[in-house]
Amino acid sequence: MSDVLGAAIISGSIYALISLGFALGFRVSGVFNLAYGGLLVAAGYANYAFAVLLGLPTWLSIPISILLISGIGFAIEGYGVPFAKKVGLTSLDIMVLTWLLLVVMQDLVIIIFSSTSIYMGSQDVTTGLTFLGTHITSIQFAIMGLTFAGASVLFVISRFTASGREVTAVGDNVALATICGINVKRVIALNAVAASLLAAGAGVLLTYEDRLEPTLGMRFSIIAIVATLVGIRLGPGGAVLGAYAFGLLESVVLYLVDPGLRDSVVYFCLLAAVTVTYRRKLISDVG
Amino acid sequence: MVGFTAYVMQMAVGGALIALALSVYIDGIGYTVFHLIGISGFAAYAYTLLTLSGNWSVSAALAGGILVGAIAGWLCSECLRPLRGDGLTLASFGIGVGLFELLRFIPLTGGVFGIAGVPQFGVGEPIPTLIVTVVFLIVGAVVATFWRRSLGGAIVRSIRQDEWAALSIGARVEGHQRFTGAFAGALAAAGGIYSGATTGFIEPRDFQPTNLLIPLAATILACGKTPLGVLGSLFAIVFFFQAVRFIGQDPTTAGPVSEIIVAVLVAAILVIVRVRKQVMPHGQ
Repeated sequence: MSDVLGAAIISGSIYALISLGFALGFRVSGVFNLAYGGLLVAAGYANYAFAVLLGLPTWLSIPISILLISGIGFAIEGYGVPFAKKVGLTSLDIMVLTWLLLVVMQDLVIIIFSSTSIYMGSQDVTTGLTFLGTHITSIQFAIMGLTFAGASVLFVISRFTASGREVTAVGDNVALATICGINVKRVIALNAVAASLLAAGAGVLLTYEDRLEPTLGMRFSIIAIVATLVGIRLGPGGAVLGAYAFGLLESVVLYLVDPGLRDSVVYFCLLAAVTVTYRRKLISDVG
Repeated sequence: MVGFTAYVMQMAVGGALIALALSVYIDGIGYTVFHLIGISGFAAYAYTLLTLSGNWSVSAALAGGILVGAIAGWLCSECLRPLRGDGLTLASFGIGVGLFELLRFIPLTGGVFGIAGVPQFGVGEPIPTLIVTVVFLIVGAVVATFWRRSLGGAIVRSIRQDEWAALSIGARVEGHQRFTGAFAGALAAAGGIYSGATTGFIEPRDFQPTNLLIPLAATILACGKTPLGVLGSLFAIVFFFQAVRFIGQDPTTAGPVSEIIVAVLVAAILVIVRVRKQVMPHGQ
């Protein structure tokens, strides 16, 4: 049982790191940006290209990759999504468009890197600490620390600062926020910058923790959606809670049920999370 | 049929049946769904297992596979009925990929390696296979057209536009929605079975959501026009897709390149159609 808990904490931290940026973007736009996972993958591959293929030092390749990919993320969240809404596209249209964008990003990575999977971490995974019967490496510690710090900062900003309340206001009702004198464009832009930086940072960090493949983008997007929907009532920081809950469920399936069912769980969780969150009253319920 | 042309034709007809299923669902319920590709895989495996393990005849297994698809379609539509908009599409994605992942996992389906030696409709001979292909295509198009022009089709469209108004004039809302789900499931099943039973081999990868890209492109390109419009669009896209692969020579780059072109094309059409406020291809 301690194995399950230990694994749940590690995978929950990774999923929380993946989900934070998505939750932040979703809080303002209300759009399921499926291209989000593609950004994570692209950030990982960009870092690989700069560090391994071009031979740049890590201290230079990481910030360049993060800036490059967060620029693309900002263009999507900060300009693309608001523009699409402005011209009359529905949330569903935008979601389908982001799926198509994900397909394009995925194919570009496949073409450029010839479908190669990448891993940037150390071959030495023995150093670290044993916690709850599970071995935790230094990079996993870093992920846990970053997740905790990110969630805490998000919680404090969203609850106790004027900027956080502005984000909540714009997310809830753009028209009302505009009437109240909030600079909506500025809020959307700043939120998009933060979400994109988190996505790119998470993508780069992931390559040091696990092997990354070009086709993993959709899986990352779905995990972020599930975590966000589970913790939706607690604001963007609630995604962390959702990620840990999902990590626990996945570890239970992995250790106690059947490892082969691990991927199915992700997608059936998506079905459950969406149904519970968006279930409308049926005619039969009304009578 | 042999060679590249046969392969393209088989791919086009399998995709066409799934595109028809998608257009039926969008026409009746109003939203894009991804689970139909999973259902087509489920039915294809049902057909394969019934023939190989159950020793059913090809025609009986075909009927059984389509029935499995219809039941799966009904069950999925029942799960999705409380949802609308992007929530419905996202949940359908959860079912579709969940089914795909299950197919990859269950030992009965041969896992990621798939199953070879799937009994073929035309016993692998060119002329019988061509006849089966034409029959599948014509039956699919006729059934979808008949449904679209029928009273049931008109009622389900009116339900899509306003459930409460339809209920007030006595329409059996739930029954029609369930039937639409089952009907779309049966058409998708026919597409999956056709693909498996003409190529003689199936693997879970054939039924992953990215494979819905071309049927979805065809449906959006047809802008809610008749099933013939959907079929015409699909054939145009498939032949374009394969022409790029054929001209590109290198399959490792030609495949992704053609996928990028189709994705950009779909996105452009979707935006143009929605901005011009023409017929709604999906969503209200």
